[in-house]
Amino acid sequence: MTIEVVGTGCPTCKQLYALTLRAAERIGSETKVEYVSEAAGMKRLMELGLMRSPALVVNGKVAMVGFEPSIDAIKEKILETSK
Amino acid sequence: MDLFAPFQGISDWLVYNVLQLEKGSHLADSLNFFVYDSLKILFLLLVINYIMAIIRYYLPIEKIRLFLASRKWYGLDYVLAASFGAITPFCSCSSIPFFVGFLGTGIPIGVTFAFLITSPLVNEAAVVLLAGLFGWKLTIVYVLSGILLGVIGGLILSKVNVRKHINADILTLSKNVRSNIESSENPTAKLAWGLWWREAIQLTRKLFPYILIGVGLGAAIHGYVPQSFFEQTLHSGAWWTVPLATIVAVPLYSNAVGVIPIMQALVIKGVPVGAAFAFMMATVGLSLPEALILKKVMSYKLLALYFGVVTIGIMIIGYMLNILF
Repeated sequence: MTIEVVGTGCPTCKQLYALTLRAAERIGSETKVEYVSEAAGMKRLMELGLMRSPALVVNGKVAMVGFEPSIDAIKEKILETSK
Repeated sequence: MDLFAPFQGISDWLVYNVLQLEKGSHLADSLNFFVYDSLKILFLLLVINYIMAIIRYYLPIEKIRLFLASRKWYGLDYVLAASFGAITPFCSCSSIPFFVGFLGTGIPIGVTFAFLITSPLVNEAAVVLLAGLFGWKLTIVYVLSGILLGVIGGLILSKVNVRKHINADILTLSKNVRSNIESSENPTAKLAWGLWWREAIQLTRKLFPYILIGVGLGAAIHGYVPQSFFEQTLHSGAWWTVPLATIVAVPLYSNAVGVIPIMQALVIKGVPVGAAFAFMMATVGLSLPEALILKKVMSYKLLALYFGVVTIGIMIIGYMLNILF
């Protein structure tokens, strides 16, 4: 599955990216994590119709908006959305 | 019956029975105050965070934007935007997508500012603390003045030339916003009690350390600073207290929930209410980190105007509270 962390370059966005990488590791099989930031991130947010950053997108579907400090919670959200 | 009587019972029991402290001593007073206030605020926060999680679930900012852009409001949109700002949390992290999204949907710049001004000033955690520590009357006056400041500030800032003062990249991006888009995380009609509960606990846990520090300092002031310590110098007749409190607070940045318990303790010791509130509003409503991010969106001139309008508004509210309370 493809996981995108979409942000505008803010510190929280970078932090979420780091945590998502570890969450993807825990999921293991066949995950690809992309970090979409700055201008490209803005464009992606607009495509998704979102006005908050960061956003976690799984297979093109919004899994979460905003920050989440728990790796397990991120993992759960990814799995839930990819179902 | 006092809803919070059980909390007073618990803290009395803990301080006088378990710890065997002498009633009336400074230490016992402070500790009792600390335990009681912490328990009361923790309880109120959990309740309000749960309610807010439900509201946010059904009314995310993406939806508010569509609602504001859905028709002509003839000025009512300022009031609506400021009121939505009061119930929606806003992280300056989202400043850029926020401006692009609002302007791109055709929402006027003044309405966008109305939201931006009220959002940090009025939030549910602050309301709970104010109500718990200062009473409902003052809280309602505060919330209404926060919304009014957003409306008036927005009206003043609506006169600026958007093309000249908003970053060109933001304007280009906003041209590509599809206003009819439906957010893909659009909630279904199903109830999500578990999700709201998790969110409420998470939010409360995040705020609680600030509250413990705030209440702790407040309790120390309560127990150790002599009654009416500030009265000679800072009585509400001293006109300079409000501007001073505002200016001092701008470079400081803190969470409202950390500042409010300290404010309460200071007010009990004689600091004028208006000065205390001006301090709190300037701490949460105006901050340097926020200015740095907003600089990416707007010109220095507009940024200075925005801070200027909010600063003056805060001082006016401060004076008004001094007169009323």
